[in-house]
Amino acid sequence: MNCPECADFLQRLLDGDAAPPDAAVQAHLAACPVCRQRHAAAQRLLRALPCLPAAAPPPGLTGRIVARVLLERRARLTWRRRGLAIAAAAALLLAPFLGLHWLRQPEPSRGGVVVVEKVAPTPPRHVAPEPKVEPLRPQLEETRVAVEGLTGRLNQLSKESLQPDRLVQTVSLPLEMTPLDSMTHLEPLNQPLGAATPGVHHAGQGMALGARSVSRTTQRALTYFMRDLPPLSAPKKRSL
Amino acid sequence: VSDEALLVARCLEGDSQAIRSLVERFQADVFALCTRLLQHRHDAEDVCQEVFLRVFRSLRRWDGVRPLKPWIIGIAVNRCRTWLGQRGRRPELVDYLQETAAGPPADDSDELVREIRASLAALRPEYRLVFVLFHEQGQPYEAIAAQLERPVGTIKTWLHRARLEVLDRLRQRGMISEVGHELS
Repeated sequence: MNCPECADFLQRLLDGDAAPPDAAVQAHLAACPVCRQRHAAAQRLLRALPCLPAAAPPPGLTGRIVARVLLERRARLTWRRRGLAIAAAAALLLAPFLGLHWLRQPEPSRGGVVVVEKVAPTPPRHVAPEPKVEPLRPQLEETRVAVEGLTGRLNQLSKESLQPDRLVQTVSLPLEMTPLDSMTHLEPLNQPLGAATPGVHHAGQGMALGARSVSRTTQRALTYFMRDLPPLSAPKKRSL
Repeated sequence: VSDEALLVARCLEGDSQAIRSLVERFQADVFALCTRLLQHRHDAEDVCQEVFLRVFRSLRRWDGVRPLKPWIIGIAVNRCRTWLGQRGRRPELVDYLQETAAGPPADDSDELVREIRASLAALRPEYRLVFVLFHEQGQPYEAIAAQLERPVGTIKTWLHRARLEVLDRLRQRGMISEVGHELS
């Protein structure tokens, strides 16, 4: 055995999985003072390592850490609530513009489809069906419920903190004016409207599209908002 | 659901008592590791606070199936490595060992502990890191390799060299007693 092989033995010893030294190791240790001293040091090190004292945390460290964690958490929640309220308001404000944008888009010409069919008649191409647009009324209803929930929660919070929240009123106004009740009494038209039909159809699609994006944004905002809120409890009486 | 998962769930709800409980449970390990790796108590305290801030920021990403301690220790190791990298570009700091090493040794074991500490402090940071993770934190080679994003062979090499340096220092400082030396 030589010194590198003996060093490998020492490594296994310090790993905790070395077998007792065999005759070759013992002979080398007896002949090599450096390896013998390393072996003795390794044995002392093995005995001392479990007793090596760990540095104790200074007093008050726990309190400082907890205070910083709670402070950061509060700041993060405040900013998230503000951001969600702004996002919900922005979504409501953008809805009419999205509808208008949809209305102004040119109607796709049917001639283009014919040209494509002439250029590549085989194999038969599958024309993708027109995406199904959800009806307007359920979208508006869904939006109204989501915004009501969000603004109601904001109202409750503002009452608890005794701070009037003007943003809540602003958000709830447009949907209060939606003529949902009157829409329930509308009867379907049986008479053909002629050239006006596509325009009305596109207007409906535009409104539905705008309302759908608002509804989803508001629902997402509401979900995040409710998730981060602490459980509700009765407001504590303020002591003087 | 494990005890740790319940504690984490309460922390995520913002329960301050649970947050305190989690900090109290792991701060001794984190602080000891930071002190050993950074060799400076004040730095260790700063890093320890940073570690727990990061722990609570990313608590949602903790895998509830795995134990919490290795995950927190992993964050502590990463913060210490970053801190050491930044400290290398700053002026030399006072070594905490100089603050604590005062007076003659009470007995041979105290002196041995002091020599082991000093030899660890003299190691290269990556050698010291591997030594501490293996011998003090009890982590296997594979876990250390995954944590430091190095091959297992590299970790073994670093630990091998770290041990030889420690052994040679103990040998040169006379921290061996050949009289009682037994081949076991």
